[in-house]
Amino acid sequence: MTTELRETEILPDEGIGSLLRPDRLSAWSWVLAYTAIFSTISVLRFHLWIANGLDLGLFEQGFWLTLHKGLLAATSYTGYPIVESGGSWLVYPLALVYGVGGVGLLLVAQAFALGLGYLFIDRIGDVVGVSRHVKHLIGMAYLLSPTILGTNLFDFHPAVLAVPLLFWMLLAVVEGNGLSAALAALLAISASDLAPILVLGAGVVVWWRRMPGLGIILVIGSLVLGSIDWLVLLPTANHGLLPDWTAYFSALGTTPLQGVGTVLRHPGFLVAWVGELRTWEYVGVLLVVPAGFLVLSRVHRVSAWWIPAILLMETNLVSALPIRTSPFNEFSVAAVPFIFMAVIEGLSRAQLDRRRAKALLVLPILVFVIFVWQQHRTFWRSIPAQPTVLQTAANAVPQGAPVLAQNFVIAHLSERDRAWLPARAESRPLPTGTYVLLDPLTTTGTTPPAVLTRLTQEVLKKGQADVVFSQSGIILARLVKPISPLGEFK
Amino acid sequence: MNAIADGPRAPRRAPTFTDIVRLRWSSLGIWFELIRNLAVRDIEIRYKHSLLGLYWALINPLLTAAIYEMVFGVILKTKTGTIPYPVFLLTGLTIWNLFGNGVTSAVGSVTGSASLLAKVYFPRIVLPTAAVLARLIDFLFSLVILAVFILVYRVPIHWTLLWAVVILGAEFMFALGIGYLCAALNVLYRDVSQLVGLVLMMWMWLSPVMYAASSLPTVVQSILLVNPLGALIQVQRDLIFQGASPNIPYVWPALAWSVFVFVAGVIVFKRIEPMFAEVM
Repeated sequence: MTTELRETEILPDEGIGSLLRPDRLSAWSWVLAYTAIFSTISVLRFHLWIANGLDLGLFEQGFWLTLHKGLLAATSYTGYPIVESGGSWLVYPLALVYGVGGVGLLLVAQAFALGLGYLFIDRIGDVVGVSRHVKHLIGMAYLLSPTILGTNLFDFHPAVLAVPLLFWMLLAVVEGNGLSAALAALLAISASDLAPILVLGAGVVVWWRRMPGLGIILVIGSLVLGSIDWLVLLPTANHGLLPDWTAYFSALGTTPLQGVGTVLRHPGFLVAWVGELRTWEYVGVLLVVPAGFLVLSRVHRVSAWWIPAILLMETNLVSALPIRTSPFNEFSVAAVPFIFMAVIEGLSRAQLDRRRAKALLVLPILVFVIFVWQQHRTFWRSIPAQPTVLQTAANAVPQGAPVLAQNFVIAHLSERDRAWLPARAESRPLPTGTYVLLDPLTTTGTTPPAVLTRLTQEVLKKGQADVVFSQSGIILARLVKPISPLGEFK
Repeated sequence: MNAIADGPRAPRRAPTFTDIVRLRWSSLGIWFELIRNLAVRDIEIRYKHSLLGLYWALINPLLTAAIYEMVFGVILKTKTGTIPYPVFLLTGLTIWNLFGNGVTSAVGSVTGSASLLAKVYFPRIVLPTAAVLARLIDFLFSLVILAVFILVYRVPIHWTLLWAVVILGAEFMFALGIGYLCAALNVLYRDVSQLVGLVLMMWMWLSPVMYAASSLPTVVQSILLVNPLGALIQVQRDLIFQGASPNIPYVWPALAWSVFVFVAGVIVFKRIEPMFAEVM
């Protein structure tokens, strides 16, 4: 058809605009399929009150506060402004997304951002010279990778925006478009507080690959912007404390600079994780499919793009908190573009025909099946027995009233100044007028059963609270007297 | 073909944004004219030589609604909150029929135009598009009936109704996508036209057309609303009569499904299109 031929000619065949060419429609269909399927599952999970981590509720409240109280309003979950919770300055435009479409649009945006990786893999594969069936194989392995799926399904994290932005940076680098790469890197750093580590690593690779100008820009840019973010803006916004650093790297020192000093004096810290089984599980889940592809295709060339990914994984491995070494969450997701970039480069020289590429697809499918089994026996098991009753109880909480509830409930009640998880009761008093909504029969990893039992006993003490709603073990009560801190639950 | 025969290529001017928009617009204009003519032809064929003509577009939904009203409203006394059951039912049927009738028309649109395909070249995707578009006329007639019922029963409607128009656009896109898929597959396997009727019937019962999803337990409700069409029907009703906020969580995945089904429909149709000449 004449019109199509002319359109194909007229649309750009490089740069970000090339992703809109009609011949990319097939790649787009995979992105859209992923978005539709996994946003549906995420929304279903939300609708069925299946345990989310606390982050969906945290970001919901943060976005609501941003829209109603300004950029630096502190969330009641952490006591810090929303910008300090793993994302960075791109978190603020997401508040507008939330304002327009609520939780549903946030979850669709998250799935879409992660799904876009397939499109970039398709395009980068073209530039690098990978055949169509190998591009599809890598794209499918990306979409089915446990890190991408886990990040998508478990909760909501603005840091996922860094994934398409880092892919864009990689596309610009392989196309030799320095300006575009620098812009993408800047935006990626604005999306995730872990992105500077990856951009730093990418800068080293680019420098080494004879693009010194871009390499220097990426290295200096990541160091300067990362330092401004970590050493100036975040402590200023939080009046001197650096919550993420304290939470995750306290073993290294109280500030990032002290941390660097500790590592330089005691380099053994960098490999202290080697003796732990859990950390090998982390490395295994992240790398089994990419490494499997390279081994099974007998690829002997190691891509330099592993460097940024290893840098981020190493950062997670030296952290004091086990959550950093879960391969299913936002702490590792930004490394995925670099891992798959290394696979693309690795497989670009492999002699893979269509039949062998199809046979290799068994590996990611097998890992996907294990992932589904793992999800089924953990998160999808903790469905509250009475979601309809929970809905009724949640509807009875007055708008704007302070509320305390478990993690799977709180995401439905976060549009208010004060929303707390049960852990708050351990160390801080609960003020009069707080609505406490508890489902003691449903326990998740976030709230231990002992905490729930103790809190329920406190709330039901005579004269402590007016019970507003009680059915099938689910209680909604309004405190008429404050509850003093209950102490650490052991 | 070789490089010498082709001659040296003149350097190509970089396309501007205006170039792209102008090209896209002019090609759209040509195909839209054809789609419109085919849609008008479709309506004429459907109502020509019938005594009541276009009045069937009014009578059909009224009779269907009367039958369901008898079963669900009078006999089963289905609860639909503050909305009177006839209005509730007619709203659901109107929205459903745009999809159901559109898909039914699209299925046979290619196989039914064999003589036209043999004579003239045009993109075949125009046929199912025109077939779905032609059903907009029926939809508009149904809207008139619905408006009369809303006035008679004095049901308040809300300004959020405007959002329902956006959702309707997504539903139309969904209908087009399924229409493309079925029309193309029907050329290869005529069983598709038989199957579509059955699938649509099941689909309608699994969507909150005749009953309110909100009256069901949360688990059943959630599973019903995973069905994109169920979500779109429910949310349109909520927007019109409840003044609900458009940011209901399950509406967004339904919109994502609409875009995906549309794109997938176009791709499948384009893949099968070259085989039409061999099979027909």
